[in-house]
Amino acid sequence: MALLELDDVHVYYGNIHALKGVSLTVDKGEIVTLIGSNGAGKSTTLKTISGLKHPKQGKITLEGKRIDAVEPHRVVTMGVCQAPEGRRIFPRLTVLENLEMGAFHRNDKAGIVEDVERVFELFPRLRERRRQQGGTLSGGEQQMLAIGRALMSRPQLLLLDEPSMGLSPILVETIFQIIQEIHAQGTPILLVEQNALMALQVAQRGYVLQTGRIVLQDTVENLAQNEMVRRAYLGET
Amino acid sequence: MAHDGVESVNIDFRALLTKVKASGADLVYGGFLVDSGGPQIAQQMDALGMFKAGVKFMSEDAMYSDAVPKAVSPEALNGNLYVTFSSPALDQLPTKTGQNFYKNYKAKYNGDPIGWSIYSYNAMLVILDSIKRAAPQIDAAKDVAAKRQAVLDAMTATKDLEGVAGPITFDKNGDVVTALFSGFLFKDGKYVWQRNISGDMKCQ
Amino acid sequence: MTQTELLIQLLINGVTIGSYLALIALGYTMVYGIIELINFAHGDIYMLGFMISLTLLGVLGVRGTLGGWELWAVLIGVMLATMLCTGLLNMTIDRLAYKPLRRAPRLAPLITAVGMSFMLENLAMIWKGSSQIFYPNVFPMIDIPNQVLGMKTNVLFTTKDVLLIGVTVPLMVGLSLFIRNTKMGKAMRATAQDREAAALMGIDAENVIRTTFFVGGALAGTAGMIVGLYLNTGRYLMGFDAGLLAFTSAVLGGIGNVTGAMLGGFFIGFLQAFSDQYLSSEWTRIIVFTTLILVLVFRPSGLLGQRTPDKL
Ligand SMILES: Nc1ncnc2c1ncn2[C@@H]1O[C@H](COP(=O)(O)OP(=O)(O)O)[C@@H](O)[C@H]1O
Ligand SMILES: [Mg+2]
Repeated sequence: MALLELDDVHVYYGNIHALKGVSLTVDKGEIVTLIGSNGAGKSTTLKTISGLKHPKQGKITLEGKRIDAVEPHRVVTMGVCQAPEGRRIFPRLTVLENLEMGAFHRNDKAGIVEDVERVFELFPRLRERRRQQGGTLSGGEQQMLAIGRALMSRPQLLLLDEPSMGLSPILVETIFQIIQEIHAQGTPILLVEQNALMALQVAQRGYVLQTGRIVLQDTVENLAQNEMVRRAYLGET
Repeated sequence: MAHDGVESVNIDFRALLTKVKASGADLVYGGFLVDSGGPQIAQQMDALGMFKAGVKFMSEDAMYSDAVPKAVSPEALNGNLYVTFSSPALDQLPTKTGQNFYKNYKAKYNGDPIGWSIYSYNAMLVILDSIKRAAPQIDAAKDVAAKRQAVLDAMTATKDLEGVAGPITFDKNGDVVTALFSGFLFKDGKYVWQRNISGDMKCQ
Repeated sequence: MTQTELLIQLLINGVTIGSYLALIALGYTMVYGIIELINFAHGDIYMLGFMISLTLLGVLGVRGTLGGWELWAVLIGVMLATMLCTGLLNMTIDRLAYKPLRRAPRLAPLITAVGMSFMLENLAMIWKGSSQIFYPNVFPMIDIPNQVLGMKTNVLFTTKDVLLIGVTVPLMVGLSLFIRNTKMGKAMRATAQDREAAALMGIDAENVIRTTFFVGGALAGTAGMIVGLYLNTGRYLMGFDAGLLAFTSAVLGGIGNVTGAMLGGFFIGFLQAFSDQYLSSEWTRIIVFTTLILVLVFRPSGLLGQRTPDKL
């Protein structure tokens, strides 16, 4: 049984039919990437998994348990946490407080302290700035904070929505290294990216989303060879 | 002498009263109502120690009510609250109508009438008298509007009708010509009549 | 009264008026911070704090001044019970009148808030009548400079002023600490800053909103009781007037900003005291609202407000 499974998920914004039957799976130990151009429905997919949107049709299961009608804060308790698009850190909470919010549903004080330490090891920059307000961080630091904050819930599955967006090439490298490190430490990841080049390097499998439909799914090696992917997402002519 | 105003929904007048206190005024006079500000003013004058310092509080007929000492406290008001009222003291009512009214009211309600009771009794007397005098015109009138007009005409023509506190006559504006006022001081738990004041405000 | 005495008296008046306005203003600003709603019924929660505590004192048979342990037991007991009642009441109002409209356009809950305010005022009028209501003089009033310190002054500063400040200021400090340091307080700030992101972190926004209404209601209820003890008088419309001034305080301080609301409350308190003295109390409302307009023209987000519309 897959860790996460979406089965024929349809999602609407009013009359806008944003997801038109999306099916995908993520297994334990995987990084799976979801690529697609702007407006394809990538963020909507993650929002639906997190419970911010509820599908009109289809089902979502986490280790066999239905989660498609569950409220977002309960989805976190069940083990799925998201670093949303645009980082969405709390600008007037300190770095440390932002991390504490990631651990909101937990009550194990010692474990939380341990995980803060783990986040600081992953992102030493955050340690230096831990008393600073989140809004005063640079874009890259905010992204680190957003990922760190999501890790604080000790997720069984981490959802990342365009973590490389708006970052300099060097920072993009760093972020992707850290994504691999998190994965190596045992957290499966569903990675949404427009930067297909990087995404296909770190993931094992990938899905291509176009206007609300999965049009392609394969291993990253095969996707990287695919004519359409090369033209549309890897910028080749 | 100084003049100031209050918001009827406010309940905290200490800032204003501090100013009055600092001015060294001897008397606070205000056209208050029982349920908007009047009792609060009295109470906060007491809290600020103004009554102890000899300042008096004076208001009009709308404060001539048992509700005031009930809302403040009879001790605080003792000897400090003056009210005016447009009738003589109840036991000095000059007319037969007034004396009867007072006797019957006491028998029926087991207590003294307040200002408004007298006003409404007078008003009813005027209405009944007007209808009575207009009876021929009412009978002659063709429609309801004309009947009403007849009563109204009779009412404005009211002259020397015996009311509770004296004869009632209206001038051409519909104002009462012969108003009689009296002043009361709140003392030992009740309003004690002090003196009559005629309609032209001369003390008698 | 000498000029110095007068000035000191005005400062005392400003602080006392300001301290209960600030306590009420907190409820406006906290709710606005979380759900961007101006809870017009909030002033009436303050009024109901007055009425409820009055009823509780009546049930306990308290009619006059108390002393010793009895005083403190009654004060603390009635205060806690009042806070509980007004807190739950405010929560219920949210549940009935605002929660069903959480996703509706902003104007909708604003209108139900105005409606709620009228309802509470009228219920209070039916319950306690439309006249002024006498509140028992439970707390002993001792003139501190004259009777305790042996000074001879016209400045009036009594044990009641101490009570008022001694209850309101610690509550404000307590609230600040609560918001700054507790997990729930941080969750409130997080929710105010980004409700969706907070949900993604496992924070139940509805629970935060309930807590906010409870805390705001409890503070307003305390203000109502303290004003009762302090002024010994109240009326079913008292929440309208105080609510308007407290709301102005919150906006002045930067709506959504807790420290701003407290500052705004004291600011309006002083403004009222000085305007009543040196201008005329007929002008006080005009002065208050002119100041509000001026502040909003030159600093649209209030004295302490952030430039962005989100706060806490
Ligand atoms: N809040 C919204 N209201 C209406 N339409 C939306 C909303 N969010 C997204 N959409 C629409 O849904 C589609 C998918 O959007 P999104 O999931 O954000 O795409 P992506 O993340 O792949 O860029 C787009 O057509 C977008 O316009
Ligand atoms: Mg997106």
